[in-house]
Amino acid sequence: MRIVVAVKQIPDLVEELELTADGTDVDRELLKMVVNEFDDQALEEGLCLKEAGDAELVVVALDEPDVDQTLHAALAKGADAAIKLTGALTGWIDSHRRAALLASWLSGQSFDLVLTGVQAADDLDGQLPGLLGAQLEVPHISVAVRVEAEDGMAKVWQELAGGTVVVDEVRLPAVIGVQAARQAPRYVSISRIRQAQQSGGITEVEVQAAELGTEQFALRRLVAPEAAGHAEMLAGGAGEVADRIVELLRAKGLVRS
Amino acid sequence: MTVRIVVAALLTAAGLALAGARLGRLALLVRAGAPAPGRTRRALRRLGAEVVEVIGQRKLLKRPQSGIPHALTFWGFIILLFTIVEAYGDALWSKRFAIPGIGHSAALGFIEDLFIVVVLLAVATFSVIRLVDAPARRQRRSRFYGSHTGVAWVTLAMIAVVMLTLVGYRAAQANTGDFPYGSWAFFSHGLGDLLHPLGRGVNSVLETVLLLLNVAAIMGFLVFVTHSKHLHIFLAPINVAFSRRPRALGALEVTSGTAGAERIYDLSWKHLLDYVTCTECGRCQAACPAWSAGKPLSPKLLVMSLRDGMFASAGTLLRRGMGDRSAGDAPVLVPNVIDPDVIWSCTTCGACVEQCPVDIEHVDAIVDLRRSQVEQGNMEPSLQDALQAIAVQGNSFGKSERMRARWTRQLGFTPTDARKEPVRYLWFVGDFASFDERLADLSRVLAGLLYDAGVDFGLLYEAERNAGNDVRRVGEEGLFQMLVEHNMAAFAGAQFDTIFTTDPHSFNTLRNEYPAFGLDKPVLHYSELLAELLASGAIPVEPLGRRVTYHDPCYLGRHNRITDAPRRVLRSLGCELVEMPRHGVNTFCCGAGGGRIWMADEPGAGERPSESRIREAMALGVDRFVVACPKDFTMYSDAAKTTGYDDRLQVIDLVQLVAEARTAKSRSRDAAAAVASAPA
Ligand code: SF4
Ligand code: SF4
Repeated sequence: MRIVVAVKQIPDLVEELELTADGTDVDRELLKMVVNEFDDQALEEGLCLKEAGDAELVVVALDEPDVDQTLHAALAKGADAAIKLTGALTGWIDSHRRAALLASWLSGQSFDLVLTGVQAADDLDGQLPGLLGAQLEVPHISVAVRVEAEDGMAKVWQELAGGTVVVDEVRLPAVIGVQAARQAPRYVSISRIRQAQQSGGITEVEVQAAELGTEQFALRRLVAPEAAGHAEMLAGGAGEVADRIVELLRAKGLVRS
Repeated sequence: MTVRIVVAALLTAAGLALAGARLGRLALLVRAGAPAPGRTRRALRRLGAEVVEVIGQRKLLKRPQSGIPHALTFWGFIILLFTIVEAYGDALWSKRFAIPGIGHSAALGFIEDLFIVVVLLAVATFSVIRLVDAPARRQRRSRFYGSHTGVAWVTLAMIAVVMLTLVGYRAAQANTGDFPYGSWAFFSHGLGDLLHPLGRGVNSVLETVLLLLNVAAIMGFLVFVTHSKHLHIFLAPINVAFSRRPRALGALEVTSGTAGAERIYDLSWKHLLDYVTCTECGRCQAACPAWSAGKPLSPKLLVMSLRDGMFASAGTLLRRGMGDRSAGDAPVLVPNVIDPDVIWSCTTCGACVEQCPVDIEHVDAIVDLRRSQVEQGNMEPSLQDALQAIAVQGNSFGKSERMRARWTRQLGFTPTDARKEPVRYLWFVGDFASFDERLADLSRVLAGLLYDAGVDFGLLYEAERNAGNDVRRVGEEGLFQMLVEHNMAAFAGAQFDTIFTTDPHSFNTLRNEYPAFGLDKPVLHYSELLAELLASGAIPVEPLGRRVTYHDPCYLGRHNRITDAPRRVLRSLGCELVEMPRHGVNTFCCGAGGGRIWMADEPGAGERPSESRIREAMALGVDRFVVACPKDFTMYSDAAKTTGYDDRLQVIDLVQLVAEARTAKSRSRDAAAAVASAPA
């Protein structure tokens, strides 16, 4: 079985994001880029699958800032190969372009499972797994919390609203959007990552701009969220605080009398 | 005489053969360990250690109750070596044997007799100590808990037998006319008088029988010793000779690489020598904060388990000891021999190493084992998060590295950027003092003090990274080295003469471990800088007249022996210092070191170390608990609250006390603003 895990870089959200002067992108100049945490879950599930049976695991990512670090870490964790797709890739890559770029490489590959994060900070709708499935013309399932594969079929545990879990069966090949792996993503020591770094291991593949398809939409402007009102701390003795709470609830019309 | 010669020779040959075989086997086991470079360097200093530690019994005498009888027994054994030679001479040579060149001076006879008495009294004292601190009754509070107590009793009994047979045959000799010493040998003659009525014939038989029993007891003891924990009488001098100098605590070693010790032979031969040397005395256990908090870790039991692990893999080790490095089928140590909870409970406070009379290096072994766990990704989630945050942003708080110097924004001045302008002092602030809100207040107080005192200092701003002391101690050696490379590059891009740190942990690694990576600048702790500034009058103060106690941070007081500077500060401030029982190099850990601060603190069966420490201070009748470490400030402020003593005992940083004592006119408006924002 051949498992492909698609990962991507997003800004580390501990950073304060600032917009560029023209307001069409976050200022990437000084940002720390880290792997999308859901992609890390997808990788972990892929590694668990590989350890459970006989599988080859390939990670693939677009050439985005600090991506080498992410790919080396994946190799150190046990990925068999790491592919970096290069080309004219600057600025923010929306999920349509991303799906097209990944599909242009994947369509020349044999694969049984494509795992990727169910969503990302810049794709909160979780479009990528669906778009990728469509581009590759294979089935797709999202919000997976566990994947098992056997005999050309995969069983996918899917978490639905309200905590219901359904188990789907899907014919392979398929694209799965992973919400969480069956276990927390493993730690890989820096010395192992450095070993992976020293032994190379990242294969660069150029993807053609022509393969991107026409622009689906144009981004006009991003707006930073406005600071909402701050919380008010109620000071004083318990009685005073209680009175104040009742007063506030009355004012909002939440309690009567 | 013939009977004597034949029996004594046979006994001796058997004893020596058995003991020799055992020692040879142990030597092979130890040799199977990984190389331990630098263990023979500086022979003179090592010789000095033999004199102070072995002959002088320095560490043992720190606890006079057991130390004095131990030292007397040790010296007694050396003196009584003469009696052994004499016994052999008497047995194998002639009844009137004398050691050539020494002869039978009255003084020797007296000293020999004196030490027979002294050793017998010491054995009695040891028995009392063991009865009073009996593990069966005192359980975990006994330092002998988990030790082989049966073996210890046999040891004491054997020593007594050696002494009694010795004095017995000397007494009989006194009656047969074979005893060469005069009345100065008071004990032998005294006992001889008691035996006198038995008549010459009986005494003559007694002399031969007791002499042979003495030789048998000595040989029995030799064989027994080499097969038991009492082996320390031979191995302690050897272990001390190879121990790290000037102290057994020091820069961590990386003998098995970043991957650490997965199996017993990945530990260095010095570690293996440690394990066969351990006497199971439990001094380390009694001092261990993890053990007293009811955690599964006891440094003594760890050492004993590793020794058991050694013997369980003896076959493999013997083959490796003989040079067959491919012989490797010893089990993985964690979790088979050592439970993971054991190694993760350690705060690396070093109390065990400090106490150990035979210089066993527990901390290095624990870190070596932790490295093997980190290499396999086995650790608790909160630690994993901290390490990942440090790898990405260079700080354990997971905050953006660009926010590192944000605490300076609330100062009324802008500290110099040492990357842009040369400064005399480079302040290595550290994660906690930069990112933790409460501790950043303390940093602002210190910054204000230095500014007003006209100290030429600067910061690295966002170029500073976690110094890596605790990263190294949790076993993430690769990340540690990455941090060192980063900080070294930052140092190279700045101009300064001296580094000073807020955090004793950063201080420790910068001072003791960075030099191996090329750092050649002096490193100070802020308490040292403050002491200097107060002494020179650069910070004018008025006496505070408070009664305070001071807590030595493990990494300042014990690991680096800086106990005086903070006390000088307190004296300059006119404070009366009341010491806690555990202070200076014998300080007690707060529980946060060695990366414990990143791990969940599940309460053990006992009291948290920080809470037990607050109670220790409460007994002194002081109202200020002075600290000199950001982590201590957090740990003890919390402990004062949880114990309910926070209304009577205020945890206060040294720098706050200095700020409090400053004369009003020495404060600039700017710095005063900073002080005002500090927690009361
Ligand atoms: S370093 Fe401290 S916590 Fe660790 S074993 Fe030794 S005494 Fe216990
Ligand atoms: S390690 Fe040292 S202090 Fe601890 S029991 Fe052994 S000999 Fe005693």
